[in-house]
Amino acid sequence: MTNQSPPTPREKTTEKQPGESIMNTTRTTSVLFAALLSAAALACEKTEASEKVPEAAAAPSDAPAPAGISPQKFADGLHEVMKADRTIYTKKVVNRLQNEENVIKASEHWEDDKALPLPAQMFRMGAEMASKADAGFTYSLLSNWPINSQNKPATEIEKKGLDFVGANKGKNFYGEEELGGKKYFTAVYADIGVAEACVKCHNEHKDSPKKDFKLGDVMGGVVVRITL
Amino acid sequence: MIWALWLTLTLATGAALGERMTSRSRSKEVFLPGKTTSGHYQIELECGACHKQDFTEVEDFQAACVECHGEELERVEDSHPQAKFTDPRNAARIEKLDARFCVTCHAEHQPGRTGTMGLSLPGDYCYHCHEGIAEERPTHEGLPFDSCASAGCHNFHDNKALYEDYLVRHGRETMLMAEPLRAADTINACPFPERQKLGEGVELKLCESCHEAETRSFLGGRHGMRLSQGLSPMKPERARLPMKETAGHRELTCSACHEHEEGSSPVLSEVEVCEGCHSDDHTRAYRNSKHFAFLELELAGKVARGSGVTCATCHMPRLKNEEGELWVNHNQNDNLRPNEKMIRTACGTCHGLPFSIDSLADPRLIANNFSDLPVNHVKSVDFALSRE
Repeated sequence: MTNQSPPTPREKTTEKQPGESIMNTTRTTSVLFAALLSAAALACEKTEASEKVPEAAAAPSDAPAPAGISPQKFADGLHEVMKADRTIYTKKVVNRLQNEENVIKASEHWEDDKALPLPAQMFRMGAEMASKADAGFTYSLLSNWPINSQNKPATEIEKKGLDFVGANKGKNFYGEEELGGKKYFTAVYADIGVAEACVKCHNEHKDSPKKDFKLGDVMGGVVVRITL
Repeated sequence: MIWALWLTLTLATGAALGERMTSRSRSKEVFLPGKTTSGHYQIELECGACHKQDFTEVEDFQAACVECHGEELERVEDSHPQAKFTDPRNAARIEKLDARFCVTCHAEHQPGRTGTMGLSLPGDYCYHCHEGIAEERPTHEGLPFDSCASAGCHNFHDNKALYEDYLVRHGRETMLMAEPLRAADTINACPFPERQKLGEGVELKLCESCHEAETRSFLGGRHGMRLSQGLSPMKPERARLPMKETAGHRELTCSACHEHEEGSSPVLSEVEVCEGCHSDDHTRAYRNSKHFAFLELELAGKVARGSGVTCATCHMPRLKNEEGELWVNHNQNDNLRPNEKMIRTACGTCHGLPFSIDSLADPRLIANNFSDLPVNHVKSVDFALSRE
């Protein structure tokens, strides 16, 4: 599965609300990206779901020169880095040291237990640190079966997005939403159980609402929000 | 004529207020909009400590709060860090309780609505986000909606000794451990000739050159916070806690406590220097407590070193830094409010967790310096164990 899907025609029309963020000129940008990458889009099997998005619109021929990147491209790029780091930490560090070589445990209370942080904690710590930089985006790890109920979907887009990526393996979900008076481009990506450590920990945790995960299952989703 | 009089009075009033505004004397109190909390009253006339640029922007206040309190919140793994609330997905929650900013819950100069620990909200603030907790935790069914953080079970920020797995791990411990865990390490009196300069007015910088962690924590606590703001040293006569009248004039610098070590037992001095100023119920009850009885046995050589419990054992605990070096935390508040902070650094070295939680939740025991047993039982440990 890959999340490096090119912008789709749908996405070209999502920037209906030029805002104050770095993305406020992306309407024309995304049009150009879509034109340039349309061949790749046709070659790619992956599709995207969308919220609040009309059908594809043709790019006006006299569109001004593009600048910046589209929110979707930005979100896709961010997620690719997150996914790579998360997968490597889970497989090469936690799974190897805990499950294969029995060198050290991973623990929710990693400081007290002198253990490795759980992959989900590693992810969240990064999300909290990045949010302090106020860099125009936030991200979180959610699930329909969270160990901590605070991590179940809360907004409509989160609910639809998690349901979509769970039912359509290999596809992402994109949409726009307004939260607290601000508009966001929100992308939801499937979070897959990539190692035995993921599945085992969730299936055995007393607070896990689902205890029959298998390797390769969609266990949740990564939500990336770009301020518009 | 009337206009001239009006102008003169206006200018004179303005000049007088301006002089007060820029002075550091108590006359500046006229500008205080209300009684300052116990945490800040010592530096209340140093307005700029909190009011950095603007008197109304919460972001400005926030920067000032974090400047003094941010490091501790990170250290205790704040259960509700600001990042949780700046996340847009929690926008609906901050409409109920805007926990992005400290002043939402800790408004200053609001004596009419400020309770313990500077909390200026009604005690049901947890309920706004956790009203459905009984669905996940049937043990919580029917608990009073304002009891989460007032019954000894949870704190908003520091839950390092209260989180569920910690309760499970330590929940079966007995009242008194068979082997007290307190390290018998003793920090000996400073052996260097510089120590003789105590009391000459330069001690803070001099001591800091070797005791950086102690000095930094001292400046962050009740004894040194005035010095940290460039004000004159704290004096007992300025304290809100009951103090001995005879000690009112003393100045809280390093020498105020450490000069006393000369010619006295180092362990006993951890009691005597505190008793020299403090005169509240808790302090006055100390010598009737079992904690002091153990100290007497230690001084008589009848029990092992480290068995006695002094004021400093609980209020200025000896800790180890990341390099394993011993240091003494001189910021009492780091270990006191809320008092469950004390479980890991003090109580837990000798007592089991359930007994510690019960004792700290009993105001009567705090007043009598833990001279008898807790009457009420906090059920958090039972709740946690019942889920195993």
